[in-house]
Amino acid sequence: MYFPPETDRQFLVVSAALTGFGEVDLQATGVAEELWNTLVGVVGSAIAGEFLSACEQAVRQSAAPEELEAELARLVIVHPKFGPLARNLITLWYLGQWNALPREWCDAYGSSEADVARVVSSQAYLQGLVWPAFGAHPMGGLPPGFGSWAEPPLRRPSL
Amino acid sequence: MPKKSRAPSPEYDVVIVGAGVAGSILALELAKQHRRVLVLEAGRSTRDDEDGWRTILDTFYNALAKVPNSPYPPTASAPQPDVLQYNPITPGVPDSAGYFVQHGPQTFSSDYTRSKGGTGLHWLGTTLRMLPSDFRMRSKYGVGADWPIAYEDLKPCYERAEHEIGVAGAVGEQRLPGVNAKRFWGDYQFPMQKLPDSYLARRLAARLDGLKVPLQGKPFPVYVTPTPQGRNSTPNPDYVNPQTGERGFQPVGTPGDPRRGERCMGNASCVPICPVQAKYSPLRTLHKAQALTSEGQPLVRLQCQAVASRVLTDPATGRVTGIEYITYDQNGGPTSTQAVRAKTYVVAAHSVETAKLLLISGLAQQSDQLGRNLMDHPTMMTWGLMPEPVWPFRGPGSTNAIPVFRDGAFRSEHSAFVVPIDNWGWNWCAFAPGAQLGEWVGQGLFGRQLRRRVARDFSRQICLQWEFEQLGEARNRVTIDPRFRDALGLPRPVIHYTISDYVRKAMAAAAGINAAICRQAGIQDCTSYSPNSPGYVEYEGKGYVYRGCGHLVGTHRMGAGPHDSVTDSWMRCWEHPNLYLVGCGAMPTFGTSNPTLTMAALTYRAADSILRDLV
Repeated sequence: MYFPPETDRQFLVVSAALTGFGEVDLQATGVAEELWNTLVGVVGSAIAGEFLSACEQAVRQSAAPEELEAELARLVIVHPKFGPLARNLITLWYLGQWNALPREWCDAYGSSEADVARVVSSQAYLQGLVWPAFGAHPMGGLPPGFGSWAEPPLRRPSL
Repeated sequence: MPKKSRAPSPEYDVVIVGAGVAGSILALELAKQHRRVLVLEAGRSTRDDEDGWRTILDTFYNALAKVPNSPYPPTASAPQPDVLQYNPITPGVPDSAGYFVQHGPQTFSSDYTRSKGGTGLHWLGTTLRMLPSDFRMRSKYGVGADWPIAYEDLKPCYERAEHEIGVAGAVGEQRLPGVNAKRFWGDYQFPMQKLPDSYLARRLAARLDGLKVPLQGKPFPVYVTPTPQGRNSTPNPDYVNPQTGERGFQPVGTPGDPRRGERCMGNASCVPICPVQAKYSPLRTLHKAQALTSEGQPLVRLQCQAVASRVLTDPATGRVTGIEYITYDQNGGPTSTQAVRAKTYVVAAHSVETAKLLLISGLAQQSDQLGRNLMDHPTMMTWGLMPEPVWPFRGPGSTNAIPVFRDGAFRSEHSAFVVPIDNWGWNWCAFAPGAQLGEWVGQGLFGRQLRRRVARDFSRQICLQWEFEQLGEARNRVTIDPRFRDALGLPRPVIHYTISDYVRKAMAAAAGINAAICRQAGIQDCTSYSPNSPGYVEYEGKGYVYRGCGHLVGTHRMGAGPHDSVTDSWMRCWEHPNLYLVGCGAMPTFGTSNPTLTMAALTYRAADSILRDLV
């Protein structure tokens, strides 16, 4: 699937706001394009584009992070069409996993045979944000080395 | 090439059914003595070179539910039970949705693996020896059964098994209840130094310092000790192999790659798969066995996708005359049936499959014990949040445990239990991190708030596993029923399983101890037991949930005589003098020890006897 630079930039900005991670962190995972394609593969590029625009509008309207979060909550998270997509995108980033969309969403906006719960790929799993978010690493990958578990992690989040 | 299903079979000294822990060690020990061995494995030939292992690892990464069998899918011709198949059982309605046909009343919720390497592919690696009391439950506590041998008889075999598995541990730090350490260990040391204790276990141990809890009116100090483990650590320069007198130890990791897996790297996925093969698996032993030759010919032949379907005997003498097996090409593909002859035969196909094969063959049934006494360690979990970050989900699944409840006079009343401290947060007990993350996202958390919640909660998750001793009971059993068959037409295992009050009483005691631990350590207890869970049981009006621990034991128990046991203490069938049944099924009891190490020790004992028979 084509991933133009403009979509790439938009997608990273929106993903950063939804996940709480920085754009650079997200870019460094190397799976941004794959996750975008997963979303497009299920809902199609028109709905995915609409979703991205709605999120970006919230981003554009806000200066401070608090403002942005309030705008995202108002324009996206509680929105019947975009809310479920936002939640699925967060899960994609945190777990590398696509969850089947809610029945009501499919009734309203159409269902897809690609809409099945699955791990997107090995890389998407290994790059899941949930692990670094609490100082860990994915189970079965990116091991921190012999004996590392005896001390607190070197890179740990502020709590 | 046309199939020659009636071709004359080559003569082997020994045919072994099953390429798991027991089958692999047997093959190696027999081949070392220049015996010719055929190993029949029902499942696929698991690839363990770096490239092949990577494909198995990818299967694991891409599994939605990363359960023990997720990297090792079964074939249609050699199906296997899976923890995802278990449901609560409606009385009178057998649940046959999975591979097992379950009559209940309780759900038997453990699994095993039918692939080269067997369930040893996804064992955790905990290597606790059984305690001397565990061998004499009947005479000491008036419950369960006595073994026909004592701890002292098995001690040299434990040492041999610990050498083959490559056990890392600290003898001096074991504080085993009711055990005279000098007599138990002698001047023995483990081949490798202990794996470092996890930060999480160290923090919990510090917080529990000085805690005493009452059990049956007696105070028990709650202390934490390191657990011996079959995973690579730093070699112990002072280790002396008690059998050979050799000093030192050389760990083995990924086959053919000396750079990978010589030490645990902390992948935190021992169950179901160690990415660098620093955890022992039977594949390591198979490699050694298959490398042995005589006059340029390999001594061990391993045939996978070969399902033993019947043990053939001479009815006049009871002696086994051959093993009939079915080969299949691919998933559900064409099959052919053949038979193979040898001097001695070993079934080491896992507790359930071994009993099943013998039941199908109509053998070893004089004592009426075959298939009975099915045991597991019903495991109750308690979980909560520590008052400080302890950084879980790192390191081996468990490095430490609370061992003090493994023995005591209370065993005449209820189960003993061992309490491993889980290093992987709520992964097993509550499907972390996916389940909690899904809940928070569903509640509308996103962005920095979500990230903060993940950091605060997951960094404090703690889980204790209360693994209860279960005793052999005649009613807990594996049978077969001609109405339920697999794709090859072989009967599937039919399971009857009850959690007795002996276990339930211990669950209630454990819940009380957990409350004291939470109070003392400042843990916010988040445990909850759902009546809808397949493992839900009640005792004195309170509900608890157990899980299967994958420790399937007892279905072909050894004993003192043919009236009450299937085999003698060498694991030779009373009724079939050239047939051995080797594996966890041989154990009359198994206390609170994860059974793999004891099974491996028993395998050395069987190997000695088989070699004596062959002379």
